[in-house]
Amino acid sequence: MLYSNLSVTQIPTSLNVIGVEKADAGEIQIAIRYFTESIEINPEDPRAYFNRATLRMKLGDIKGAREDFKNAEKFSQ
Amino acid sequence: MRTAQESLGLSSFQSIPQLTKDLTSKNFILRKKARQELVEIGKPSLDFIIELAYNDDENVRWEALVTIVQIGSIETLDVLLDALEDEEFSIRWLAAEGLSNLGKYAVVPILQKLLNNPGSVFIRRGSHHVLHELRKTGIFKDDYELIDQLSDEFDHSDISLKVKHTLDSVKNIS
Repeated sequence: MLYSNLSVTQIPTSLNVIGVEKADAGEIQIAIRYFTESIEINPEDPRAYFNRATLRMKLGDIKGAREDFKNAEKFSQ
Repeated sequence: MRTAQESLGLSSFQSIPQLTKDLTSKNFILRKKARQELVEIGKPSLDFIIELAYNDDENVRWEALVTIVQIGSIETLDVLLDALEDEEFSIRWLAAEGLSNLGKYAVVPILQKLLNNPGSVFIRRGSHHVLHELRKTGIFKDDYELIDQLSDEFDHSDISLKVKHTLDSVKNIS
């Protein structure tokens, strides 16, 4: 497994970082998969929701983006 | 005799008031269809949509802002600037994106808004978002390092003078 050398608390951060790199490289769908995986491991990480929201907006998934923005706000408080 | 709607080339569309009403529907599919048609109509629909951007229901404001941003007209500057202070995070984010999309037309208005509301956390965050995006594309030149100061959430110092210098500098260039 790619992330086997990382502790559980580090994994979502790493997935987020990779997601951002993928997004910057224009690999939007792949980036979304990283953010989604990050959310599955830590469903209360606002950064992953926020990052996925911005990409969903780019793809025109307005409904999905709104849900992610809501969660980003909820878990950042 | 052609109706006003046909004159605008809208014969294949539903009426703008009906589409605007559909934009407030609880039915997601109906909202999406209305949004797409309103975006296609563009500017003639703005007066109706802008009114919705001040609705009490945050879901209605969100749909209105999404449509406004997708239309992308400088006529929406004021409503986007107002939405930077919305109580809803996603709407504030959307307003900042919309202003960024307006490019050079947003620079002076956002600086003016910041100058008039130097203590507003929402305006500071929104201004940071917009100016940061515009700096990336080379539209905004941050000679007075305003963006750095705006990026510090714990910096509550008065930024008025810096904003004023920046505004004067931008106005001199344009």
